[in-house]
Amino acid sequence: MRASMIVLLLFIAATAQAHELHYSTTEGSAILIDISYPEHGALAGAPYEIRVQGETDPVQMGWTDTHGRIAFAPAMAGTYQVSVFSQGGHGVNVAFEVGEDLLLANAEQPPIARHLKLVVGIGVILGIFGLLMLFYRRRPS
Amino acid sequence: MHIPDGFLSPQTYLPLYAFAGVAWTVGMRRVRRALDERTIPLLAVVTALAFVLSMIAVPLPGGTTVHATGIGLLAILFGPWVAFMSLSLVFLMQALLFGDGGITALPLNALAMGLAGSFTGYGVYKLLHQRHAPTALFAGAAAAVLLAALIVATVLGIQPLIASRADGTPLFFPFGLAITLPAVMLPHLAVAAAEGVLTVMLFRFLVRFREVRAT
Repeated sequence: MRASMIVLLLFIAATAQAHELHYSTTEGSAILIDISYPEHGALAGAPYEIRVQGETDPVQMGWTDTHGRIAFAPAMAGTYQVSVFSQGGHGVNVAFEVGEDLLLANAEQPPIARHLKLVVGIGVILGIFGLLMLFYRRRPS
Repeated sequence: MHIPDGFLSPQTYLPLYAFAGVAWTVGMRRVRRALDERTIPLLAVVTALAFVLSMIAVPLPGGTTVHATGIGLLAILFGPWVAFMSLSLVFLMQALLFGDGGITALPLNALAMGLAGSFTGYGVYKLLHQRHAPTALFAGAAAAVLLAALIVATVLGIQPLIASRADGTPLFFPFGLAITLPAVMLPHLAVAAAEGVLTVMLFRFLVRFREVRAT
């Protein structure tokens, strides 16, 4: 009877250990993705997903921190896609490449600096309408 | 409403592209008849203005930003088809050159803001302008913004219903209608009011400017 009680206690102790979670706190390197509104601060608390490009299931999901940041420590090299969603439908969807050393190898950059967008945009619009004007002038009335 | 790629499912943007393709074809024919040498320079300036307005993002509490669009002004000055085509040009340029809004979101932006917004703004203005012109301008511009916002909020909000993973998590835009409708519509009440006031002011300025140029 005593022996069976000891066996039972040992079994319960072993099962209890199986539910234990081990943890360690170490320093490492991670890719930091910073999401902010131009001149208006961080996009905090916005949900995001990081996927291997072409895959549907994310490798990491969560919310941007109070500074609008995402920290991502990739487990393998490849091209990843990060999608950040604001409730109002704004957000970003950009790709970045992780090298064999699991460090950032390349990241998609905004195609043009924001302050230049206004100048370029107005120029393109006026240019297109200028061409349209030429077309209308040459058209027989 | 610069919706990036990856927010809308193919089940959404492919049919929208089909609708937008038809609308762009009709729009091309209408624009060809509506424009002449006198209207093109003003249209160029107002389209550039609409582009500038859409670039000025005003942050709001809750972590979102809003911007004016110039839909009402374009629609009231030049008619809804010309406004639709001009705004489509702006959205296309923003998507291709600047990455402001995805190419998959182009038909939604064009149909919601360009087509539905323009026709609504123009219709409301036509309905009211004989009673009180400034009210008609304000109401037309405001209605254009609100309807466009409602369409965008609805299309975004139904994405979790349209496409999700086996475990039920959304594949594309993650927020449902209960979140997108207030998140988009409440800020756009302020945008609608601001755009209404701006449209009244700019319309008056442009009419006076034309009168001065004509004399």
